[in-house]
Amino acid sequence: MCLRFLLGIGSMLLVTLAGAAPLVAQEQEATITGRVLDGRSLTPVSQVQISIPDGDLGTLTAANGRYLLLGVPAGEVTLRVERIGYAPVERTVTVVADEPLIADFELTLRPVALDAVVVTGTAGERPRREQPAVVAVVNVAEVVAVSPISQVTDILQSRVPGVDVRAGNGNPGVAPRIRIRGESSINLSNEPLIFLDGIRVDSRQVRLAPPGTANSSCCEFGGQVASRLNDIAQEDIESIEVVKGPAAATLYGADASAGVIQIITKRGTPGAFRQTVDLEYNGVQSTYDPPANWGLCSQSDIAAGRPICSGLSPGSVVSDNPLVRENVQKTGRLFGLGWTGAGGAEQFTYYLSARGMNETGFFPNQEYGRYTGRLNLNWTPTSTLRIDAGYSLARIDNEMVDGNSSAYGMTTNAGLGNPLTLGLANNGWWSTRDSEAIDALDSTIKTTKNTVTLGATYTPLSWFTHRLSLGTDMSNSKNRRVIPKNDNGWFPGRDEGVIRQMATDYRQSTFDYLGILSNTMGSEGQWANSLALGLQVITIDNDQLWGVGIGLATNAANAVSAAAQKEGGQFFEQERSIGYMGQWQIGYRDRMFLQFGLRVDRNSSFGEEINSVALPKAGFSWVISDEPFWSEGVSWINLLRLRTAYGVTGRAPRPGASIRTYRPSPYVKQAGGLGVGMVLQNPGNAGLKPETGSEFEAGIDAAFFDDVVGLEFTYFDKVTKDLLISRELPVSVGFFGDPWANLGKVINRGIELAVSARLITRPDLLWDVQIQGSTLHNELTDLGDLPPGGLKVGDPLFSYYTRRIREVDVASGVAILSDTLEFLGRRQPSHLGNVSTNVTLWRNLRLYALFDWKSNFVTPNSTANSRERSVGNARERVDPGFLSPEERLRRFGPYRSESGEQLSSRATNEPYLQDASFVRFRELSLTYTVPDSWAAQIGADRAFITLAGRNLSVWTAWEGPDPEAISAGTWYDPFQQNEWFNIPPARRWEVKSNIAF
Amino acid sequence: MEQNLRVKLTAALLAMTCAAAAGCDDFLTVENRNVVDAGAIDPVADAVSLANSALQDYRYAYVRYASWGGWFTGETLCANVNWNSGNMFGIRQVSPSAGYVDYPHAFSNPAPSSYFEQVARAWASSARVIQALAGTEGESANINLAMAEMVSGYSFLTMAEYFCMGVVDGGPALNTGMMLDSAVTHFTRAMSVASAAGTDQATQFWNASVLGRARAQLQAGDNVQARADAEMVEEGFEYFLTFIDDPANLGRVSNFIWDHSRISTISVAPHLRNLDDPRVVAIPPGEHPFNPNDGVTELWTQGKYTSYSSPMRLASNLEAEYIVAEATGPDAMMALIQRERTANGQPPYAGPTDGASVLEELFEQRGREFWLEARRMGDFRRHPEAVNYVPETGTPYHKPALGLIGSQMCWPLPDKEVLNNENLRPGG
Repeated sequence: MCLRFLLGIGSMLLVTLAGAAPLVAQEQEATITGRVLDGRSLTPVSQVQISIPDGDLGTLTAANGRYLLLGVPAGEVTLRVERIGYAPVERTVTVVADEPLIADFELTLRPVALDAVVVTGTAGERPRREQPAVVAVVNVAEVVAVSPISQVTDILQSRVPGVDVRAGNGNPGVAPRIRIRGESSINLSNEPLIFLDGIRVDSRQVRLAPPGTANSSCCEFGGQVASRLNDIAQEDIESIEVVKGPAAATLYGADASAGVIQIITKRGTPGAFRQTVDLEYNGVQSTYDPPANWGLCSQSDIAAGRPICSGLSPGSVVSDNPLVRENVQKTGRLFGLGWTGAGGAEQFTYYLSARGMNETGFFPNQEYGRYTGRLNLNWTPTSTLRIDAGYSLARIDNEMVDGNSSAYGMTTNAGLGNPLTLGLANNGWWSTRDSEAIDALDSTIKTTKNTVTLGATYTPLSWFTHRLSLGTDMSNSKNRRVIPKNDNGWFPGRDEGVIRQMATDYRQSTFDYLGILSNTMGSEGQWANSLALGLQVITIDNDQLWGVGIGLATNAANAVSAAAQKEGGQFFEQERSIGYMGQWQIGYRDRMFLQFGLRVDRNSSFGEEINSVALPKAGFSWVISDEPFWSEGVSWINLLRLRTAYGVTGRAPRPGASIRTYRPSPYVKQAGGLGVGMVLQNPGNAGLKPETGSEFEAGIDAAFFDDVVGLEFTYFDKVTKDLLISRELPVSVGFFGDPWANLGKVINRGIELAVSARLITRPDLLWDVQIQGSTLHNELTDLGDLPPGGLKVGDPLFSYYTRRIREVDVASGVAILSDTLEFLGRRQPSHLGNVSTNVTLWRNLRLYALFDWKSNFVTPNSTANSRERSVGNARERVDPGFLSPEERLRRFGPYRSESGEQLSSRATNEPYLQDASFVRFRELSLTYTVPDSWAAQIGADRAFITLAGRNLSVWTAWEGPDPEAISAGTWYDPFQQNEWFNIPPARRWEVKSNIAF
Repeated sequence: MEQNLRVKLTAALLAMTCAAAAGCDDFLTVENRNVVDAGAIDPVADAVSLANSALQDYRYAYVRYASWGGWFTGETLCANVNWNSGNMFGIRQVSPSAGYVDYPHAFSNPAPSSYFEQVARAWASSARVIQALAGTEGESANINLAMAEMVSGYSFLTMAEYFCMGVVDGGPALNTGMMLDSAVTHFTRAMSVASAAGTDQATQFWNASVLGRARAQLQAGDNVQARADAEMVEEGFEYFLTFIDDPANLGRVSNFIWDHSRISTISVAPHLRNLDDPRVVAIPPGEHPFNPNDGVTELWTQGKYTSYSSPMRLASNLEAEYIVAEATGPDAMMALIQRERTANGQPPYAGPTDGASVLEELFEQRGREFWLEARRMGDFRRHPEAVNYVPETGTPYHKPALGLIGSQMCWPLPDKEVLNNENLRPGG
């Protein structure tokens, strides 16, 4: 009711204001025309102000970068060209009466754009110079123009210091893992919140396989996970702002401690209707080099007539590689086609887009299709009111092949196979599930997503501005999993056919209001005061209904209701939060800013004893290079800002986590049939509150040598306390679940550095380089009174422990291990970095490359562990001469502890807990800007062609397929950093073009 | 727009926002349809549901211990994939840190994640019913209380038979004698309440409880009381734990041994494969549709339980007769042995007749009679010398890659209990 009331208020107000406002029309003429381009990408720049300061004339460039300046007096005039983020340009031209003059410009991006407006993490749209905490901005339009980007998360990969993105695996549409400034939650998600044009949107990681009982869904625990974040078409995004931590995220409330990502979509610009068409084609190539399976032919194998042993002597080593033998991996492809239309006038602009893309992967059953449409409208009916509205519709069809430890996985069944069965029932595969069987599985999710945003900025009084954002994001998904009926014995126990289907209705709504009072004080108006007060309401509703059918008469009749046995279930969850916020800021001469803020949050998931939590913030920003004294001293530093900030935010408990519950659970009546029973579920915790992260950060933004070199440096120190941990109870108390409790503390500390430099700036050659890096010290400093377990105080979260190998005594044939488990390595990399470069030749050919690296982290190579130790089909195990005697002892023992105890053959995992540090050649592209005369021949205004590659090479000592692939985890841990038959990310080769009309 | 109008609009907007914010308390109240709020449960009014749920918890536990204990004591071979913790039973190396032994149901949330939770939950569920009904009107003849007391008794008995040490409700460690004492106490209360209730169902509970008490006393070495109790069991009495084939709730209500047979993790032990005895039905490879789950174990599937709804015998007059014979001595044992051999198509026993040999043969017959009925673990702990074919310490496991058979006689408490129970925590 509350939200509906607030939405109603907002909507009525907008309508009222709009109706009451008279339209204002303005028109201008000029005799100078031209176009403004970005000097590096040579893409048109819109909203550039072209003015003649002396003559009080001015205009803005349209979306195609063109401008028209009317009524310019004859004679010598100075044109000033300005846009936020770019270095201003002035040029003197001579205007002859009645002769149109053409003046084109190329602008250079400033390495540190303090006047660029950020909308995230602050009260209203504010220049970056006023924001004391770091809000990183990614210019998506430029990234998409040159980089091989197939989904939104590719944009964030290696573009923001401190943001660690790991591609999930090689399934198209798969969810990545995003970590901003490291992990701090133990039992809650460490994924950031996602906002789109001011409203919170669905960013869940969604398992493809619908739920079922153990009978119908057993052993799919690896499965696949899709990300709703990827539902947004990257071509529709103007920019992405990344709020890295509590220092900047306070205003996002008690659920934002893992950071916030705000996606800002494109808007129309004043000017004539302008269209673009873009086309792309990708070759999707596997990087997976499947390991062969090995076996030893024994006398009995030969006697039994195993085909692969025929004619061999006992002890012969044989091998087979099912994926290679059956030529399962193919080159996939992606085809995309998009259209945009944009234009408008001073008071009204619009942006329209429609696009579709379809990708097939390198394995069977890998397909991803996304079809989207977007309409953004911006209306400024009066000088005091601006209304922004957006609507997007998306349809996503996603199919994935099992991998990642699923019993139905292609890689699992191939990699666990036994070559001795070649020519027999299993034919070299792990089970009867060969590639044809796995190909017959159907695992899809189809999603329709509607997102509506409405925003208004109303300034009825010069000192008072209202800002309102409201909207809803609705996802309706249908997950479907079909195990076909078959007579081949492919799926023992399920060969009668199983269908599982789930319908999900998920919606999030946001109401966000801010009232901003501002004034200036002082004799020269040198003090600027701003007080913002507001309210944010967020609701989340998730309703899932599923059915399972077991036993199909035919595979064509595969509705749940057509099955012999049916079952069903429902999951329903609601969450409500209200945040009251205030922020006061005082600025001095637009170069020194002091900021204080407070948000008070209430949330339906808090325990009943917790009414609200208070989240304060404070910060200071000083553009010291604007001080009068600066220019007299350090001229080679043309810009320097000092900033520091402190803030607190939180992470709310899961809905329902605080209440004491029973779980409905049937019992068998002695006479037969089921009765309605219940089992003890959760002891509850009435005092449950959010875990809170408080963060201090300090840094500098600087530009050197007249903007040739830019530098951003930040030190951050984040402390997350009251961690929400599922606190284990003694088994004997009899609850199914463990209660949540607020326990413990984690620190994340590090530095972030970004340096950019224009190395060469010549008419025919531009060369710039960007280097980014970050460090992360992650440490669990307190775990309350929890008993020691897998987490150890003093170590990074989720570290790996095992008995360490002290000595390998080849002579005695034994490996000596430590007496106890010891720290081996950390899960999160401590160092991230990347270097990218652009070389622009002859003003129309741009070469771009990106390398990145991650170091000092461990990924368990459980594939090798399983194949060598459990299944025994790895060459390392089978072929006695393959490994050195020392290495065989390391991997297989026998083991003895330092104190002399005989240990099991799996007493250490050290050989398989491998350093996963890597350097990756992530992106390469070559973009050619077609000469205007060529473009004109097809009626186009401008055209680009790009050839690009992604994931081109990786250098690592890690022994698995890809050190960055993560396994889709189990129900209790959606992601596992564990290599167990993961499908590594694909290599992509892309050709794309963009034509503007 | 008039300045006046703007001021009014601003004021109105602020007022409405404040009013809405102030009225948002109800807004924070959400629906939690997935769970039952404990505050909505009346332990007395809902006693039927809660007591039957406790009995169901015990069914759930017992059928699993029958399976895992079967691997441990050599009734069956574990054909589970090697990385599944189920193999630890077959190799007699039950690990306190073991995770998901309840394959495949452990992968359906929520599910017990250790081999101790099942019996612990059964006891806890029954204890809450007993506590809730204490002092209520008609307590002394309340059939739900009788059921809960019986479940409590059997929970203690099972705990005592399988675990080296026991614990309930986060309390201190209980040794085997203490657990068996507690079992006797609860069985006695169950008999008392059932006797007062006097219904057919109560009679069933009374017989099951007196048989359980006899079993506990036999396990404790009190043969006199064991025999006395066993002799009280009614002629022809049988009490089965019932199961049902309900696809939506297989993990909760089905026969777990059939489920494991279907997913091919249970193979009949070699010594039981060709007995030609109706009490032990072993189906050889090729005569059933299953392939071993681990791909290597020769799969002789069991034929005793043939569906998800196959019941499992918990207590019977036949068991009472075995208890009487064991508690009485070799002559009584020999008489029962010969009777059962004849009844099941076996030639008369012609082996040595010394006490140890006769006891060994009694356990052979008892082992066949109660095969896969969760008795053998208790037998093994009571008379390890007389129970044959238990995987022998130090010999290779039937899957040699997993190592040698361990020496455990009983199962340790899991780490999850020890580390979280302040009475047990090392240094705690």
